[in-house]
Amino acid sequence: MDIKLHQRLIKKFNKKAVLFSLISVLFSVLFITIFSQNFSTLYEDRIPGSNIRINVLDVYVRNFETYIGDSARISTFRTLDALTTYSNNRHQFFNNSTDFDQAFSDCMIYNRVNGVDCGLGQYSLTARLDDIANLSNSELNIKTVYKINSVSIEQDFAFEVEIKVNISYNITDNSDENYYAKWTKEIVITQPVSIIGLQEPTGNINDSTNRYNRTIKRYDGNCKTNTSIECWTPANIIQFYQDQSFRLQPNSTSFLQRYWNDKTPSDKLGIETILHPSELPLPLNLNHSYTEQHYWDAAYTCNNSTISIGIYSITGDNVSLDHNTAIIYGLSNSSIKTICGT
Amino acid sequence: MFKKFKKKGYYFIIDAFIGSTIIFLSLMIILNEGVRPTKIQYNYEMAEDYSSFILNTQIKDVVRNPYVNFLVNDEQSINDTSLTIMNQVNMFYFSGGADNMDRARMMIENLTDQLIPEKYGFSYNIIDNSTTINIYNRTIDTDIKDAELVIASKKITFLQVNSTTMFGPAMTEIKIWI
Repeated sequence: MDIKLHQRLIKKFNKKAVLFSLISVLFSVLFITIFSQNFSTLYEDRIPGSNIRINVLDVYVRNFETYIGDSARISTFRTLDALTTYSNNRHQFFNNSTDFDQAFSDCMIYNRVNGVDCGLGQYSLTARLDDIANLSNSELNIKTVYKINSVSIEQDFAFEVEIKVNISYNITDNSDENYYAKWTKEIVITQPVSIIGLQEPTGNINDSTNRYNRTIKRYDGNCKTNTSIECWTPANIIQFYQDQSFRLQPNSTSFLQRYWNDKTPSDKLGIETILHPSELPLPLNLNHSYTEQHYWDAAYTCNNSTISIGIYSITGDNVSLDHNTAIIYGLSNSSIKTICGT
Repeated sequence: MFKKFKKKGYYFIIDAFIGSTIIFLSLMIILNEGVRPTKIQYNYEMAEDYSSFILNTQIKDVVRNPYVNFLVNDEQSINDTSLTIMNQVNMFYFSGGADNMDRARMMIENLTDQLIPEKYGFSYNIIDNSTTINIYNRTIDTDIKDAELVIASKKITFLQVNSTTMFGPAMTEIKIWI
């Protein structure tokens, strides 16, 4: 074979080889495309098994924090009522806000105040968190270790308090804590708690006969925030009186202050109601103003030289009111039945 | 002559390279086929997905479902559409009574039947203080006791019913079998 013939043959075969190669590439692309599509739609290829377990733990951790918040709200509500009952049993207010804060924290976390069971039962925060820790351990094989560092209560709105729970927790997979996941965290969980439905502390603690049992209800009728005399028509004051509810009143005290009998007016948080003769301990004292914040400590009585007391007829009831309150509610002198002491 | 042969050599090299690529890609496809997870994982993840759907989806997001819509319009049934499906079932269960249990059963039935392939059995249980309460059970030809595969997904569940009362913590268990 001469050299020229050899070159022609090589050239001819090379061209064919390249053609076949290109066809092969096209087929490869076609197959890869078909199989790749299958791969992306196959459900079972998404995550390995360990990730599923981690997902279970992750859902639990998120649930756990929600659970702390829900439990804190319920424990707070029950603790506030429990402290009213505790103080009522002793007929004694807390000494000051520090004393109250300590009692609140002890009762809410441990169900104890000064070593005495405060009656929360299974609703103390520790009992609630123990429940979920035991359940997660037995049913999900997840170990939950927690420590409540502190709880504190504040009030920024007249009909709502705010609870803050500082908690550290450590959640691990019981099956193999080194292999899967571990959450260690310290957080402050803040929750608003409505005071609607709670026992009003001042009267409940003062009344040793337990005749008074008014709970907090928000007045939602006419003039609920209006303090002008024009608003308080006789019809409106009857509505407020009959509703037995509380309204915002800057000259009055906040809900929390009542636990330590602090009479300092709270500009934005003060609440007020007018008492009914039927709920007051007997014998009735018509010489005291029936505005709830003044009745119990006899701030306005006949003996008070600066403020006079008038007895007004509201829906047939004899209601004593101090002169200042009577002005706020637009009660004129003409509706006075008698003036105290006369 | 040497120069001409050298030029032809490039064709062989390119051809060899293309051939290797084809072999490499073919091997990749074949080997990937071998590492696919088993079907068991598919079923397990299904149970997890359905329980996550029930745990996280709010009633207001499924209100287009005719039965849920009926319950929302009936004020005695659903008052708060921001509750999740699981919480609403908890609320029905906590409220008690045959009517509420029927509402819970029918709500789960209406919300899951379209989602879960017909070949799977499905059950929704609440485990409250070690007592298992069946809320809904969808049977297939195979009874759960004779099932080839049963996968359960458990979630801790609870609900603040009002200012002073809480339901739970309890377990919600979803089982899928085939």
